[in-house]
Amino acid sequence: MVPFAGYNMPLHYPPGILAEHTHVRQAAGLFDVSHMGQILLEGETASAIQNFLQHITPSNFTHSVHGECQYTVLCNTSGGIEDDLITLRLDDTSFLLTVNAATKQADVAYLQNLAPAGITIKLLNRAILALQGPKAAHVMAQFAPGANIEDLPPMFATMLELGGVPLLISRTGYTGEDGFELSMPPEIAADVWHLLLDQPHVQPIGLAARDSLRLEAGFPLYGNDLSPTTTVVEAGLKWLCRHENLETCLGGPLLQQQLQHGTSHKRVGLVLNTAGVARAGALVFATDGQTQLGSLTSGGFAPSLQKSIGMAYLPHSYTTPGTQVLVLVRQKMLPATVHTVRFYRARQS
Amino acid sequence: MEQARATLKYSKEHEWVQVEGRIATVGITPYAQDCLGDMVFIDLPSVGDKLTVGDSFAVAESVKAASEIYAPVSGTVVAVNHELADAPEVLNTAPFDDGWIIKIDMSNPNELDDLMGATDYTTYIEGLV
Repeated sequence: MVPFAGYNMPLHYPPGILAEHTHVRQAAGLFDVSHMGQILLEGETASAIQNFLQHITPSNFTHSVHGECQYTVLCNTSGGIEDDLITLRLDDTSFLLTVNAATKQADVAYLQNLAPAGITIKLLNRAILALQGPKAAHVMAQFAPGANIEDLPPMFATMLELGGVPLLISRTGYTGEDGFELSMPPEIAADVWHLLLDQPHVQPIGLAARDSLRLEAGFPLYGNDLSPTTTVVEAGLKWLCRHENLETCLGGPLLQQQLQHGTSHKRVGLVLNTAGVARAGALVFATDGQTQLGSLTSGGFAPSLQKSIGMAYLPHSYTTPGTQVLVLVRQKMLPATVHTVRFYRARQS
Repeated sequence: MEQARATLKYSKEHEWVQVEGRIATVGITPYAQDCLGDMVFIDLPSVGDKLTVGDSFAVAESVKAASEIYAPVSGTVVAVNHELADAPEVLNTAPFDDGWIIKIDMSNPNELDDLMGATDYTTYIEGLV
């Protein structure tokens, strides 16, 4: 068990990190992700809540339907990122925001600071379990027969009743596989955990595999790959910016400028060409061995590729996939290749 | 997995030593591989390398972290288990057997007296948190 964002969490279970990572890619892994924060945002009118969300995020909320989820970020006035999150539209005037554990208190303060009169913010006390992997839909069909959970579209949510208790299920996740996140009152979490583990194909998965899975999928980790001084454009997330009225977002004009003219640096993936593991913090150099380009914001061994991978913000001229660089690992300059951040893609079933 | 074998000697850094005449075969213990986790790479020395007791002679890279492996005795490396380069996971699955790392031609066999026996090593690891 290791401390993480104020919680005590398993780094891995007895099978170990590699076995757990592989299990999620091949079957169904169960994660306790109750450390994350779930914030209920309610407004008096649909336009009030929509305007607020479009003020604090660069995304488009004008067409979102009930049950629809979106990946987005909370911006600051410099266009930088205060947190990344998933929003879920519950109804016309309310949203559920699922945010990172380490930032949830700061996010509540941020929202309270910026919310106009009439918008209420409430940090909920919920447990969240994530079931991820190609067999997750099959498991859910067995777990909740008749509820048609397996037909839930990706990035959509629905309510499920379990023994009279409502659970919120979204087809979302942080592994790059198909999967579901189940939000529930904490009192029933242990029961749901055991019920899911009793299902065939399901194994418990720890924090370390959670990190190697998301790294392979190209998903950023807030605090490592995203920060108040990185913008969505630099982070390779410009796809989540709305096309109209971006200037109404905090830092919007700067984002518009970056969308138009580009940025000096960009988040890219890196793969080590040789043996060894490069971790967050490792310095990246040009092949001359002298010119420092940046440092890894994330790094680790990718079991699906059997190679060491990472993410770094590099100067624009070094960001084309295939570009050769050097990474300093334990006093040795190891050759590495620039890659898209999406190192792994799940097979479409 | 057995934590210690009666016929071997152990260092505080969790290396085991098997002695046959002047030759010491060295590996890491089950306790060590369990702490380090799944091995993915190992940086091995070369035959002919001269080691002083306490020198780091190899680096085991696990998913979690890189860890140095220290020479429990001084001498010259006379054999290296190159199979580990292709299958570092053997350090996890068979640390006492196929997981041997190097063989050293000892320059000072008296250094063996500074190592622990199986009972002492078992007590030692039980005392670690």
